[in-house]
Amino acid sequence: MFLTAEQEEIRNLARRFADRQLEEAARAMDQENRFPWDVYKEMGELGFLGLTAPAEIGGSEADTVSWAVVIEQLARVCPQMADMVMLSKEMADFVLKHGGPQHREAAQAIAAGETICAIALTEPDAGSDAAGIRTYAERVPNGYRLHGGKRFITAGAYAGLTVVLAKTDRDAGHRGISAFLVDTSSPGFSVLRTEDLMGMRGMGTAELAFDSVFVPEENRMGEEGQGFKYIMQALDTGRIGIGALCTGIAQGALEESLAYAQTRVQFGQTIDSFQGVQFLLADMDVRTEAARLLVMEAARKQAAGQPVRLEAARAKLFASDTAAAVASDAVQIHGGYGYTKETRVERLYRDVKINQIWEGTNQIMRSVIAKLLTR
Amino acid sequence: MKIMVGIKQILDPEVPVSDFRVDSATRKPVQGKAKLVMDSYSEYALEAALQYKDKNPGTQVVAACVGDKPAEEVLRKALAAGADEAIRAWEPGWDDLEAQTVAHILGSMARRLGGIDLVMVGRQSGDVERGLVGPMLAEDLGAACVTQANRVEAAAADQVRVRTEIEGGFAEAEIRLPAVVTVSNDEGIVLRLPKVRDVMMASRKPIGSVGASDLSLVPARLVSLVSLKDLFIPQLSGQCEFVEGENGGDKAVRLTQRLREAKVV
Repeated sequence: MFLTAEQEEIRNLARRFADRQLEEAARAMDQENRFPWDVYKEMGELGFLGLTAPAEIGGSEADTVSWAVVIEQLARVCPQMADMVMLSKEMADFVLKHGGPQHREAAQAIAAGETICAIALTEPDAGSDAAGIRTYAERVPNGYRLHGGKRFITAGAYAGLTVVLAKTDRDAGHRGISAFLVDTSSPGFSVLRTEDLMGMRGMGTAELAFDSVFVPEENRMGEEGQGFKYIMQALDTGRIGIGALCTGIAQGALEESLAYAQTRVQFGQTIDSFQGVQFLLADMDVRTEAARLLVMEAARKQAAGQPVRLEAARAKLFASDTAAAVASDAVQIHGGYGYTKETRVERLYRDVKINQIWEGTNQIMRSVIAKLLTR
Repeated sequence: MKIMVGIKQILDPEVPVSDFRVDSATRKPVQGKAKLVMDSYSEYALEAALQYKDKNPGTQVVAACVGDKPAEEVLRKALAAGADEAIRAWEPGWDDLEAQTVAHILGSMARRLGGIDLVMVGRQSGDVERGLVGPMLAEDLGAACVTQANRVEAAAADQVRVRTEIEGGFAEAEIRLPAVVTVSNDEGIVLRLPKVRDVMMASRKPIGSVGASDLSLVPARLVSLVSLKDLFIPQLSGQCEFVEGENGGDKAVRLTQRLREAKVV
């Protein structure tokens, strides 16, 4: 797959970093449910967390393709930290786009890895039906008070800032939703619990409660009633990011499987000499590359400023389904060892599943694609 | 202070042993699947120079390589890590240079750059591992030479303090500039990962390129003095004889007998 010399160098850097630093971080996150702050800070210093951000806030001004490439390389080893690269870009972009000059510092802190900003949209009764959220933003003098709760918020337990979607007008459906930048040290904000997840562990995925949390007027992001639209716009980029993350999981699973198959001996031969294994590896390779090409096409188009709703949905759908299949085949190739926590593929197999669910379920992706095709 | 760091580009030594082949006709290693990488002792030398620069602002680090266009890749890596400038020298026919020639070319590059106080190179290369270029380069420049260093620090004006590894510990020496220091591996000088923005900047920076006509080379130094007769991968064979016996003592007696028969003891 073709990359410019610069993108290739960025890819090499991300790969070296992942191979050197992320194995231990991945193990700590998965087995101890611990967030590796030192590794996160290093990612900030290297520029991974503000890859595409403008230089004025300390970003590297790299393009969307470079960002997708970094996410893929990190996800081969630690999908959670790859997801943090995605999240930090998404939130820095959001704050820059919809906030005011007074939010520059916050965007800078997010891009530098000094603070984590989470996105709080999902609620216990509102997942795919995002417009059905019930968290209410009550108008009060000089601002708003937030009442309600959110669930499954990635990094919610560790975030210093959160963009919260809440209804400013409970009778206006999705047009009643607004976005707010909330400092998590605000009185009334609390982390009720963190989830005990199948995979993508250690990210502090949390249930949040808002008990009359005061948000000053200036911390409303953009216009009242536009919050849903802002989030929908951000989702295209998010889907490209998840596509890249899934490609990375698939690639990591494939690399592990190749290494294992070339050393594991049964019946006097390495198992990569058996057609059954060869065919598995070949299919894993082709499908992973196909996923990569869909992701990169969407990234390139977005980098060129073109709309990518269809391409992003294709990439997310295909890459997540591919990664789930490849991770399963990887465990198969590893045999019994693939079922133990000694192997990376055991972890990738558990990590991968959520990608068919979050950022828009794959059923929703099919709806989005069908609607775009048939309109 | 201006430091020139000599960088060598070599075939990746990390390829699996089973993939390494030598072409017996040309007496050269076959590239095969191996990528071209920065030699790891060059990386240590570069990191030592960059650490000097970190501690002594105003220091200039120039990365220099004797290599054709592919060498630009390792020079860009040096720029991304923090070198201020990068330059390569090449002429067609320079594929198989001996150490005294490489040393003379690097020395000429240093003279052409002007103002080079300190040259740092790896103590040996990761491919042929002869360790000749460093000392020969010091001769070429008429400079002091310290080998197997792992730290270089500023000392009094016109001097640097160099820490070298010796049997059982370290030695520290102060040497007068200009000097050539060859750098050995040490966990304190592992080459840093570059920041993304430096990788991007490096990919846009021009890399200087010079040929023989820019360098005032002395013909006598370009002559081949060593003729490579053969390059081969040795065939390994083993012979294993199990010494029989009823118990440990018995086996020990028989083993001693065998060793005496084989004239080992």
